[in-house]
Amino acid sequence: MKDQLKQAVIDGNGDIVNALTQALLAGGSSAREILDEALLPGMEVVGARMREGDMFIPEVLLSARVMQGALDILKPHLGEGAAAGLGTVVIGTVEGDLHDIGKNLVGMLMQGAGFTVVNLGTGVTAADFVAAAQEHSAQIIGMSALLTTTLPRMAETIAALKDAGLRDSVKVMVGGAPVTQAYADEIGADGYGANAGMAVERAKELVG
Amino acid sequence: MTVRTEWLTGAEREAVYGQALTLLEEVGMRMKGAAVLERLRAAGAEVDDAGTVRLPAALVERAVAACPRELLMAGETPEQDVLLDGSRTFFNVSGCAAKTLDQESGVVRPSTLDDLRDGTVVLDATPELDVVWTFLTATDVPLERRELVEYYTYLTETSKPVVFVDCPESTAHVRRIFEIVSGDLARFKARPRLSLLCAARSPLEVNGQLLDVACEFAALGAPVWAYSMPIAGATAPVTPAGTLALLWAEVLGVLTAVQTAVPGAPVLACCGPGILDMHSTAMSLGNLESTLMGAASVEIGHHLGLPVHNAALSTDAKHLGLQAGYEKGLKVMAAVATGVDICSGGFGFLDSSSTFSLRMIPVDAEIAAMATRIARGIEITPETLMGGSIADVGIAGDFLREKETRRRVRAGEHFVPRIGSRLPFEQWIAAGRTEADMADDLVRAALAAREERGPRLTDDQRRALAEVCEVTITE
Repeated sequence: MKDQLKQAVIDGNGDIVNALTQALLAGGSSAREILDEALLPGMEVVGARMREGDMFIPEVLLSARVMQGALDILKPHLGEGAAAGLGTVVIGTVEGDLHDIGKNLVGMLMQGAGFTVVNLGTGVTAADFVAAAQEHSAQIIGMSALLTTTLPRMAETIAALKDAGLRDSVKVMVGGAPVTQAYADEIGADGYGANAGMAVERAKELVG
Repeated sequence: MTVRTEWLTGAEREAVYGQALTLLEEVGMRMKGAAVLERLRAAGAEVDDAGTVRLPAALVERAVAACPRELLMAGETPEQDVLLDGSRTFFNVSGCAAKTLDQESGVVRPSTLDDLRDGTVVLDATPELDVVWTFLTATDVPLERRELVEYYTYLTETSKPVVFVDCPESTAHVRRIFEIVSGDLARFKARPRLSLLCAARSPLEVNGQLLDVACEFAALGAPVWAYSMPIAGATAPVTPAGTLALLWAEVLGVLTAVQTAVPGAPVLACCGPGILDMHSTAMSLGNLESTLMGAASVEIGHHLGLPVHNAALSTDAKHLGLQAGYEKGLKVMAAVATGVDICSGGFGFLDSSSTFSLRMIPVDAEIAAMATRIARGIEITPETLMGGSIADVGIAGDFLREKETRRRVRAGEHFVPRIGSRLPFEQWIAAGRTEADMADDLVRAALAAREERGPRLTDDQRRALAEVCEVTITE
């Protein structure tokens, strides 16, 4: 049944994923087993097929959505304080910038890969990033910018994390059309993804 | 006759326009914070607390009717004027590159003020390029000074019409710049050297402050480029038809706001549709669906009696190679053959208009010139049929020594490439010159000519401009 569940995640079939998740729980499987032996392996296949060009992004997002539905079912059974997946990522578009589609795409793919994603939206200030990192005990902060004029806000947020004493415990990722690996290095970010898929892979490396 | 292609039937154009009107009337467009909202409300629009304005179809149609078909963007001299009157296609650079493909190292790096200056000089020297917009962001200039320093550099390095792409931070500075380049505001109004781009944020939103700036400058006579750049499958429906409807709703929303504030203002309908690449999540401008949507948009705009711009010289290629050639060639041909008034998307641009390359400018100029030549078509007249000449030469003769051959070749009867090679294979090998080498020669020649010639504008104008833009003149 776990193989069927894994395949249903790959196929993006929410009805079957929900039914099988509940059936496995009822049959005595633990939430952790279902997560580690069916759901996450399913998303691993999805990620690999996306990288190989075998799956289109809307298909990947559908798998991510059904995975999230299964996680909602499992959450009460995972136990107090148990991580549902790979960790928590706080994402947002920096202050002064209202572009959010790329950032949302990253958030959806990260969620599908097993991260808990807190999406702060657009126009997020450095203080808001810091506060959210503290509130959600985030492992990663992901900042997006589409305008060259708002890029400096990324460096300011990194400085604010340092000032708050969080820089050693929170990894910083940056992305957006004008951002390059060189810029990420220059401002001291830990990770950069040229596209949403690469951002997810880098996030996994950072928490791995 | 001039070549004209058709991509949509009249009924299909009306269907897209009708859907756009329905979107504006029922969903509306958010223009939060714009002062023009009050005028729109007074004109019959419904405005809610979120700044969303629902525009009655009749109001939009009145605005379209008020928008002039002819639009002038003046050069420093009348010879450089760009008059969009439907008689020909003009070309414009576009993009706003934060990255530049370095000519020497071949590495992509952050764009600098030197890139901006060199690029403007080469564009100024490129006869196929008619309009320069603020195509590059100089990341080595501090942010608080960047905009004005860039304006100074553009205006002292080109005498062609200039389009300001970013929303100016200070309208007072820009008004003063209008006065300096034109002499005074009355002369500016008669011959506007500068235009302003007002871009919607898909879906169905435009920055209220930017819209007010556009209205303010429209009142001074500056043409407004009402721009929509939806991404099919991401910020717009996945179908080209749905994206077209959204695009036209956004263009018409901005146009209606500007016309309501300044009736009769010159507004250019600008269409730059892209798609989301569903593998990489990258925005693509070099794709075929954008080509189709661009060509269809030209037809819809002309159907409405509007001047139309299309970003048709775009490519997703990362270097001067095969992909850049075939994408740009196909796209621009489709746009030019529809009779687009102004075509942008690429002079010097790669990577979906996000990376600048000096070397690409002469190549793009050649592609544009070739498309223009094709669109000019074949002139069929008794003179061009040359029956007399054929009879004179007779059977088994040749036409090389005919006076008309000499005259017409000199007059440009045959297109002569500057980049492409027609040499026999052995000669081509012996010459050892690639397209990139030919392009580099033209770039070097343009930069050398600039050193001989000196900057644009008079000394007095440059001094005044430097003062406004807080630039220290070193030349």
